[in-house]
Amino acid sequence: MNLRRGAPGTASITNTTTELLDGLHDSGNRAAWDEFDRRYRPILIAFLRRMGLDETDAADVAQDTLTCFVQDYRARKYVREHGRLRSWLIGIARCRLADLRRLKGRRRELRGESAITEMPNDSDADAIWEAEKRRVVFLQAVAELRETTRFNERTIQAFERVVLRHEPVESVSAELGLSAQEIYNAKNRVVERLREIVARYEADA
Amino acid sequence: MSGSTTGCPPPDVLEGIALRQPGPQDVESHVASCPACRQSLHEIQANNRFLSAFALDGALPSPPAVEPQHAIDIPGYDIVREIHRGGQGVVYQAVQRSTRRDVAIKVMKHGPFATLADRARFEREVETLSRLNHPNIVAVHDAGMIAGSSYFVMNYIDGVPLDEAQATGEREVIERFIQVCDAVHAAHLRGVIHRDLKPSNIRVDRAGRPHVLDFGLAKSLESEPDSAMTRTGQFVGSLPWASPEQIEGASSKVDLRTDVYSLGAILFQLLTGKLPFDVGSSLRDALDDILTREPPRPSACAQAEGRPRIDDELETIILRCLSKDRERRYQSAGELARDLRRYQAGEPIEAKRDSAVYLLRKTLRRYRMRVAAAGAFLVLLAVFSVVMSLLYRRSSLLEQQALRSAASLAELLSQSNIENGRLAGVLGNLEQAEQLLWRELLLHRHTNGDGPSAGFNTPPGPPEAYWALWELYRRRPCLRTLISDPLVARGAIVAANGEDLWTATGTGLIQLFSASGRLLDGYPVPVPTPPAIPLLAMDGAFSVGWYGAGCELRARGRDDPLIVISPAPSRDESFLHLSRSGRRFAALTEGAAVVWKTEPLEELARFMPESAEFAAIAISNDDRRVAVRDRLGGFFVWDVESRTRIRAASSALPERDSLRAPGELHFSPDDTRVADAWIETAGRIWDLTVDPPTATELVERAGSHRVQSFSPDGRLLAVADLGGYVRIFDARSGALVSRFVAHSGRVNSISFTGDGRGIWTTGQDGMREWEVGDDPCVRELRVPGELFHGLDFSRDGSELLSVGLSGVLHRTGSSDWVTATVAFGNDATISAVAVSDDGAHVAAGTYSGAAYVWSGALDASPERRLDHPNRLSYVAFNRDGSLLATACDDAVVRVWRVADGTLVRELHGAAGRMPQVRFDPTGQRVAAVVRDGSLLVWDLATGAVETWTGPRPTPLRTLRFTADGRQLVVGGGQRSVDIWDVERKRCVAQLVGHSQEIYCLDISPDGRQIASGDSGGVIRLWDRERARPLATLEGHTASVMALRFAPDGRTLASASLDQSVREWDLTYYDRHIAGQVDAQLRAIEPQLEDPEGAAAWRDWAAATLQSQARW
Repeated sequence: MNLRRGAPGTASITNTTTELLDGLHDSGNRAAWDEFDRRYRPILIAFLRRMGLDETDAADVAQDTLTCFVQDYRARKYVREHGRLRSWLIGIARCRLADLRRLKGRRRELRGESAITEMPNDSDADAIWEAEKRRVVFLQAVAELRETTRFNERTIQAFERVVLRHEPVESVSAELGLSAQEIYNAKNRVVERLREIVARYEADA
Repeated sequence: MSGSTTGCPPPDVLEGIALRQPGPQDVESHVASCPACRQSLHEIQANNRFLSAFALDGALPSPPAVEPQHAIDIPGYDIVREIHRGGQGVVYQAVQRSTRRDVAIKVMKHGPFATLADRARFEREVETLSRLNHPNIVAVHDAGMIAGSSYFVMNYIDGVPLDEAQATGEREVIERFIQVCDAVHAAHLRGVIHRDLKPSNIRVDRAGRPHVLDFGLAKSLESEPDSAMTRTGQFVGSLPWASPEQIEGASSKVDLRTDVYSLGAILFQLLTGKLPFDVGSSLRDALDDILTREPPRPSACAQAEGRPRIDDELETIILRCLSKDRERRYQSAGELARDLRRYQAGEPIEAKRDSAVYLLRKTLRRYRMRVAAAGAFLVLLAVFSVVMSLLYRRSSLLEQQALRSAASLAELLSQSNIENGRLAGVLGNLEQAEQLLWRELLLHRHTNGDGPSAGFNTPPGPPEAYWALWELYRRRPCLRTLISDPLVARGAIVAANGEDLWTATGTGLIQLFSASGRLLDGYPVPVPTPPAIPLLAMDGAFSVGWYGAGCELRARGRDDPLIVISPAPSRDESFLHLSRSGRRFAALTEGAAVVWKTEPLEELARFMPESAEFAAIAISNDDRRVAVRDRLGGFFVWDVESRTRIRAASSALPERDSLRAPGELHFSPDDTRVADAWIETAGRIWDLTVDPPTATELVERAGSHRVQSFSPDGRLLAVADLGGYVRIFDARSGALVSRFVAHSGRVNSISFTGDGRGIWTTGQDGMREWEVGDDPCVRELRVPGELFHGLDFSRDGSELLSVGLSGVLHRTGSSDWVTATVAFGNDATISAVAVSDDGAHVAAGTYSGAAYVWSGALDASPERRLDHPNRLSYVAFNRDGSLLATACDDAVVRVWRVADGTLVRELHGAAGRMPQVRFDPTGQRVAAVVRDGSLLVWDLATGAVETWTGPRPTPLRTLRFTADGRQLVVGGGQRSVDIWDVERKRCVAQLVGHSQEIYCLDISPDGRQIASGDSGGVIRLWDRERARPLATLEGHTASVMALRFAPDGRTLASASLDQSVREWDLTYYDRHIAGQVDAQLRAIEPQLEDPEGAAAWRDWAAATLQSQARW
């Protein structure tokens, strides 16, 4: 498969899951692990942030979840037919999250709060995961676009500021020295390119 | 607008049409007919659809900004770049325009403070940093508010983190590390713990000097979490350097030895290149390791990493820091620094001083060259004997040193714990604050300075802890705590007399307690296991035991239950109700709502549901009605006797599987309303006076397992929940009146006292009574339009005089708080009023330049009028009342003889307006503060002036001599209260804490306390001798212009531009504190080494509880 990689650091999610999972069995296959890590770590962190963890904790729990997954996976505990990879990862993350919360529960009780925290049910967790995954996909697409296209910096900035940051067209136009027409043209050209990138991701997955 | 020659509209117009914004008619019709435009429009719509599929919560994910937007503009500084964006705020690098100095500016992230706790935290940080004046701690230059955000300006350290700093060898690393220890120790001496020491928080500048950053404290004590995001209870500190007590989450154990641990971890890292515990793999393993595993030997790590060898002394020092047990670590960063210095000097280190063999080895090594040269066993023996004798002398010296330093360390530890407790209280973490402060208060016996105790506010413990509790109980007005331990009261109801409390334990013990905790009555009820949750009738004659499986109604003195209902239809006790009188009992059973008469037992009525199953039931206070709620929230009231349905409100909710039924019903005292704690709602109150009944929703949602109580007048509804919260609502509007954490876990029961001024709650940690009402330690005189400038008490304290803009005298009686106004033909603002110490004269200074003096009756005709060429800022009597000094805006102080109104002397030398002038107690000197920041003292006999401090950029505003004349206390724009030694003419202490300019201050009659008020409306109380903050009195909304302690020192009056005068009862929370003593002593008893201390506390509490409230 011809993988079109983004620049370093912009995780590509273009490998098929099957191929990737096969590679993971081989403990010497550093590339498979790196790819798996690149693909799932940002989603896990984003997911855990949505579960209410701060950046540091989310990173810790994500780390824990990924290592735990790979151990289990290599021990052949994960059977693909029994459930989606997503659910398996969510399951591990939730266990780790519960551990962390138990540890902190005492403090919360001391403060007079309930030590019981609402954990989302499975369908909510799946929905959060999917939403975070889409978010990560989108950001990766934007990053790839930035790294790989011929658009000039002003065009991309116009897109980011007007579309992603909701800044008024008038002020962006004044600051970047582009007319409103040019800004909208830029927007549509960038979005079309993004659609291509995302379509490719989806075809690969 | 037509853009192109073809007549097709430009993309921005098409964009508008795609968003369905109406465009010009001709454009729309063009687009409809033009294939090219239709194609473009479809493209735009497809693009928009694509984007919206990625939107989360209505916004697209946004990548991190490429160019940071410095929306912030701080006067006097040019922002260079953003350095760091953290939880608390954003740090910028900037240049101070005036000095071209590089600075770092920390700005709160969310514009105006998201919560009060955030604000408190930020202010605390500023306060803390500005107190830490140390070359190795990053200094604060400036702080302020900009566009509603607070900021402070620190030195910018151009350097690298400690672990990246270059060093020539171990010696330099340790040298630098000692400086860090010294800095941390200096902070500890100020009662400040860092809690998050790590290499990235210590930056090394180009000259190789380390600077400790981020003495923020913030990470340690989170604010009261309201949002789900912060609810997880963030881990405090940074894992690799975090101590076991931090990992454990035992915040009450976090003290300065926590920082010692982190320092040890840093030193470990610096010398070995590795962290003591591997935190890279699994979080759980890392936590376990920090909690239980002994750290690896640094020497082995260094060897494995190919680093220079680590001496076993150094290893001992590191490992001592990393001890799991705080007691076995160095007890302060200063001790650690000392030992490192000894190590550097080749002297024996403290960490090993117990070992004689060690000492011998050490000494031998020091002299090994000579030893080797001598090469004789004899010499060795001689050395040994010398060493032993040295050792003997040294050990007695060490013992003395140790005793001395132990005392000061204990004090240091105590101060820092109190500081933590205060901070926890400010941030709303009341449980923890209470625990910490009581520990310090009870375990550290305090002898009250010299002379006999003044009798109030002088409990036998450190005053700082006492006042921190004073502040705490002002926020959380717990009147008393009774420990019924080991039996926990589950049910409780205030007795018929409105004061005593009937309680029932889960083991079936029913008891009557007096309000002071005396056991008045009691009897057991046989209960099966598992333990019951009992309901009680008011006189204790009936009880219901609820066992989960079923329930039993019992009458006192009868062996057999009157009724047994089984199985229970619900896991929530709302299916049962025993009326207050005990005469009626109701339950939902067999699908019906059944009401019984209790004596003799007889079923009175049975009501069946029409639609959804019944879920909660209650009987009215007059026993005549029964209210029922069904699973869907439908609400019905029946008249029991006639069995007619008198009210019905059906639920609009559809049947859902997940609909939760629990939540009790509760009639208001007059039976016109019913509080409905249905868990599907925030809680609501039904109005039964209309048909169908209407429901008012409570504005704030309580947690699960709600228990409720109406105040006797029906105005308030108190709701408590699983989380230990009590919320008090206005029962008419559903508005929240107050909210506090009452217990550390579920509140089992809640019940208003008969007078409606208290609430009893029971929980796992005891029974507590709470005061209900608004800030009762303050009373207020509010005069619309009056901007108060000055006040004073009459000498007997019976009257409070206040003056201001309107030019009249307000006379307020201390006993009745009734105010009379004296107009005396003056319409200018009165800037100051003073009562002479003998009470014979009253003087007022006005903006018209006239000073008025009354000698005798305070009525419309002052005895004397003293004219000045310009307006007057201040007037003050000398001690015997024979002289009056006036501060006039012509920069002259005039001293007048009161008896005949003659001008005794004019005192010149000031360069501007003098806000205040005072006589010293001997009457021989006059001191004045000047707007230009100078402090002047005149000799009255000669008129000669001394300048104690010259002009400064910040004005001085206020001054007071202590009664003995040995100290002069000064405040102003520098925001600190400065204590001057009069004899040495030197500032000897600075009380830092105000965040705005200080306008006024006063010293308590016993000289122990200083009160100061600032332009932000904040009043602070200080311990003068110990130069420590005691309490903050917040409430004024504009500048505090004058402060005065009452002659008996028990109250403090404040005059403010917010059109009010307030009188603060400084003894008010004594009773609250006294009400906790017994429970707190019990909790702490095992650690209490000094039984006399406990007895002293019990005596103090008993005496305090007998005293009456001031008003």
